[in-house]
Amino acid sequence: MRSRVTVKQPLSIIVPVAILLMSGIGLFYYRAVKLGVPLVPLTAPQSWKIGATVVFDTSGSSSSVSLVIPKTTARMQIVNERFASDGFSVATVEEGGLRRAAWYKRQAQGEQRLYYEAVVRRDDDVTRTRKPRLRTFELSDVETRAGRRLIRDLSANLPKGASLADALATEIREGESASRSTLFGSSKESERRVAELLENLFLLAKLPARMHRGLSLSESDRGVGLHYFVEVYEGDRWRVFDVSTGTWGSPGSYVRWGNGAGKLISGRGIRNESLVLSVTPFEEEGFQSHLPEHASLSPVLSLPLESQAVLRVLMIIPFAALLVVFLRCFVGFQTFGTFMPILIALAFRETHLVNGVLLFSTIVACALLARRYFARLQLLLVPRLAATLTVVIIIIVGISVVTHAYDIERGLSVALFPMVILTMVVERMSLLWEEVGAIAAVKQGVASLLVAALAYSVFVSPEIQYLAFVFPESLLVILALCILTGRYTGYRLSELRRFRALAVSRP
Amino acid sequence: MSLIASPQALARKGILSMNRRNLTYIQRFNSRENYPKADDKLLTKQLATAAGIAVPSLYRVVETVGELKALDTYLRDLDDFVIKPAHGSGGDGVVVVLERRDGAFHRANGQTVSIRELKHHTANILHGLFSLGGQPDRALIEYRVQFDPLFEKITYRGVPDVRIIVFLGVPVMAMLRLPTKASNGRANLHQGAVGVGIDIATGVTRFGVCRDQPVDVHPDTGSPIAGVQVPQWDRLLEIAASCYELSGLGYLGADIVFDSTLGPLMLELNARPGLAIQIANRLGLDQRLGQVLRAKPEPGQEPAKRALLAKRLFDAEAQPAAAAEN
Repeated sequence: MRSRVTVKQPLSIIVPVAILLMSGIGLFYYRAVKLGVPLVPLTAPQSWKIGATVVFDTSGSSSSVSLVIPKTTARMQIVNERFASDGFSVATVEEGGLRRAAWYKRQAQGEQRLYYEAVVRRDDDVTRTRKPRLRTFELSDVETRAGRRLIRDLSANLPKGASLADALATEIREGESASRSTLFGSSKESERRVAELLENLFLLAKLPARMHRGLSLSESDRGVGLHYFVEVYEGDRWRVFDVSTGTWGSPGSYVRWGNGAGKLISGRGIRNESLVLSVTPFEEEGFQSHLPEHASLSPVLSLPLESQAVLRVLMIIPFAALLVVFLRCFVGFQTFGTFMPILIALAFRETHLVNGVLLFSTIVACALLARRYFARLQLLLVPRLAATLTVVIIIIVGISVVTHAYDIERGLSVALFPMVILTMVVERMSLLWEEVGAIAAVKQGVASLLVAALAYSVFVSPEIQYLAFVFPESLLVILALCILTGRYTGYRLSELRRFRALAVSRP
Repeated sequence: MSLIASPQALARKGILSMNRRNLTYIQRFNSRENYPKADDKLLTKQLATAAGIAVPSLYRVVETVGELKALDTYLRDLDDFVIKPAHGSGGDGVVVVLERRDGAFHRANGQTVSIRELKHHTANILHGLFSLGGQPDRALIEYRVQFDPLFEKITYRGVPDVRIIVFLGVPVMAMLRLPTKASNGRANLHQGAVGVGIDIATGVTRFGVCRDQPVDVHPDTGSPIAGVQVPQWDRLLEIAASCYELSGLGYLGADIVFDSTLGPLMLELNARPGLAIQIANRLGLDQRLGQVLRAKPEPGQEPAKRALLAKRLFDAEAQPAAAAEN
């Protein structure tokens, strides 16, 4: 019986590669150069989630509540505001320099809760270049005299280069000098009074200053309170003094809330009102915040944040795949399955590298032992595979419980697919072990892990994440490179080693 | 010896790389539709028998798990036999039984197994444990090749075979594979067997390689492996050349064994033969493949004629002249 041999001529790769490269690089050039989309992410601004909960009693008639809420400033952006309540209508009002949320319900009975939540985004690139104006201080004659005396005393004892503002702040907050007592006079030494005095003393000392009330961002807690802050301009920059804690910080260390005076909550038809504030650091998904305003020209960036989060991972996979291609065709790595290392690397995203490798190795080792036992039980293939899979799951549950009991954080964010991958790896490794020997099996296992670790480093690289996400045209270039590599007929690094004896001429 | 060779040095010797083998030769000259003719050992046997090429006789094909109950009946009249998967690769899943004594089966690798274990192994085969991609498979029970005492000194408990790479029907390179203790009696280089280069023109062995290292003697018997004349060499070349018509594969590896009574038998075909044969011969495949392309073998040519072409093209003594010609 004769069989026909056909020789297939391949299509030219020049056309698809040229189209992909031209469009990919062209788009990239246009956006990066002409439109000015930055090539590296701007320093990640920091974000916090702030919240306010208002609890009060009502008596059955109509209730209206007004809560002072923060305003957006040049440095601190307030976004994603949310108001939640049960049956209240809500509106935001701005008057007298203050911003408020106003809730209203026609008939409210019993205890009520109102929630306010927002994201605060700090823009560190904001710089104020003008030297600020010096306002006039507001002190009585007595206070002015005492203040001048205090300033003189402190300046005299000040070491060279030290800050007068520091000295003043410490003295006013907790000092014991006579001048200080005079300044306070008969008024209570409340935080507010301290802040007011400090503001005016700074102004007296010819340092521009301003008092504010707000939420400190260095705390991360529920039930925090509003502190008084005094911002002072000394030595060509602004610094902020937190009166409650007595610490100094940069201007972005708190978010202003209110105008320094007056109650935050007011209302009609309410009793026993209480306010609980909270602040937590917040990791924002999506790169919206990393880009200057005008550059959101990638269609990907206008998707909702949840979609962006998913795409952010997906769009890096081609980069990792290209890495695997390189390691296979140019270096000569032999792994269990071509893209299994990528799946393993995706799992490493949850567990992080060292833990991930340890976990993987431990699970595979245990499962290999189990599989050995099952082999001696002489079971049918598919039930044996299922048994191995179950053992893998049991091991993972065990590890979860143990790490939790010992408070080891990283334990297991368990993604679904690694189970199946692990089972497949175990099965292939056992076969290889039985047929060829331990060395070959372990070699391939280590190679797979190594490739997975390298793919992981691609996944977590912020530069590549940014590139893939903000310049999706890079995927076209990746595609072109894959096609080009598909025609590579040269030697692999491993072959340069394997055939090295042949390079030498022998008779 | 340096750590690695330079690509230029290897290219000068015409060493074939994996990438090039896959892209330029296998993809271009091996059509996917012909793969089963090499991958499915059952099909290979049927085609070979129809073409008049000698193969180890097939006693039985086991296709379903239900048949396993009757395995002892199948094996009743057999004292020695081989059970292998139809779609196995590289010797995986092959069980060679040398003799049966007191209800126990003595395997070539020294183990003794019961009928139950044989049934279990066959069940594994049927479930696709040894097939590529885990597809359900068939098990073949076939004649056990009695190895020719000619090779006794240079083999360890197994049957050596000859692997010949055939390109467009022309044999281009050959290697004798000798089982060792390390390879468990298998003639598989990956498992530690010794590969010995054979001069295509004469059929005489040259140097050996074991685990990518050059060797001159068999690691277990200590006998020299060079200078052995493979018997019926011309017949072997013809059998190899005719595998081209058999399979329709332009680039293939033919594995042929010697039986002490029956002579050369074609064991199996390989659509993706490995590159270690180059190390065994200390010669590059690419160079020879190029020579075949330039010689433009005619499609309708007789296998015998192509075997002669190979002898002429790759005559070691005439090499310098041939190289100058090209």
